[in-house]
Amino acid sequence: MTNLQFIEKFTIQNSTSAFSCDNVLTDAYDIYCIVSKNIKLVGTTQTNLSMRFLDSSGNAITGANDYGYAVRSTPANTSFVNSTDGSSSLIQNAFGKDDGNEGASAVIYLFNPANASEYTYGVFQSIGDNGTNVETYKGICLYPTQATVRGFQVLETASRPFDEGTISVYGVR
Amino acid sequence: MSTSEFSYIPESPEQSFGNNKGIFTPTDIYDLTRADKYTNYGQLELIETQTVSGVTTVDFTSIKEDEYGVHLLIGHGLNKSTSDVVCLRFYENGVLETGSVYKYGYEELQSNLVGQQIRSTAQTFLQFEVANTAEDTAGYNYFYKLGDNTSYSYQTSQYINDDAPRIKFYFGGGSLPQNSIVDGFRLFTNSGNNFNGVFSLYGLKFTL
Repeated sequence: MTNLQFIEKFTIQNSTSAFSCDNVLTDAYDIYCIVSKNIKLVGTTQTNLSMRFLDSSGNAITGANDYGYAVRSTPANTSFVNSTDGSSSLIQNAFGKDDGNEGASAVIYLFNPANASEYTYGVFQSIGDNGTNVETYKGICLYPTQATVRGFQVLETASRPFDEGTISVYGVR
Repeated sequence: MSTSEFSYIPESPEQSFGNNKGIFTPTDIYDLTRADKYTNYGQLELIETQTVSGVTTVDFTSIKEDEYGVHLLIGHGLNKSTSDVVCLRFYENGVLETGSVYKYGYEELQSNLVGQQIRSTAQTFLQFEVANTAEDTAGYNYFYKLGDNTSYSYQTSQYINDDAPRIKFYFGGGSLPQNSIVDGFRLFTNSGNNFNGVFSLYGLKFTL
């Protein structure tokens, strides 16, 4: 039976454009569950909240072609759209989107992150605000490199930082 | 609790989840568990299961919104006497919110037909499931920030439905865009038909 085993909880307390959760992904588990809640932007302009992985030294993996993702967004107020990129520097909307007061949330599963002989895969469902309405994201992602990933990062790339939220990391048995 | 806290002599080391030291009495374990400092794996905690048959509403009114920041509701064996949709409304401080304040976007995928986009910016409910059939549905909803009166309450969902000869898959989410404390929710059929099902509500520990 699946069992979530708590590893660590992170609290975002200061304004930042990139918040790292380091040393949480080890070979103790093959599958990890990341639960984020209430990530709030400092400003009030809708901003994507994306994800990057941390390598075996704790550095963010930022190469222009390091990630692949496919996301389906289902907003309440307009037609649903796909966002796909097979050679990206980040995983878009993994942590949702926010525009100030609503607080984005997500559940993300990662597979094989600490296994140096496997790619790291992920599936996620996130939710946030697109400026006027709720918007949900369902996605898949890939770090197609046989290397150890020991952590991850929530980030925005539009110079609109966030300053609130929690991220809880669990191993899955 | 004993003078020698948590049975450690002569000094009491700092105790925390995943980092307990010492030999513990049942009382120590009880106290540490209540303080969230005892390592006890299994952070998906069952709050309540309701098994219902031939009903038009199901209420969850003790959801421990002050203990969990994220809830998981799993439903299976869900079927209806006649084609209908099982919807969801939140209780805010014990009062059922029935206004046109809910917003959602759900996508339907079908095994042999084109699916559809189901969305609203002014609805009187969210939808636990969107399968407008009588046949079996199973799936889950996550709820975020129900007990937080400084943020909106969010729902994400996905489920599968047998609508012979096709299978339907749904995913999406919605919100109650009000800064309020949600302390319960109601499942109900939109057209008032009876439904059966098993619904289990869990809290994810360490998400406050």
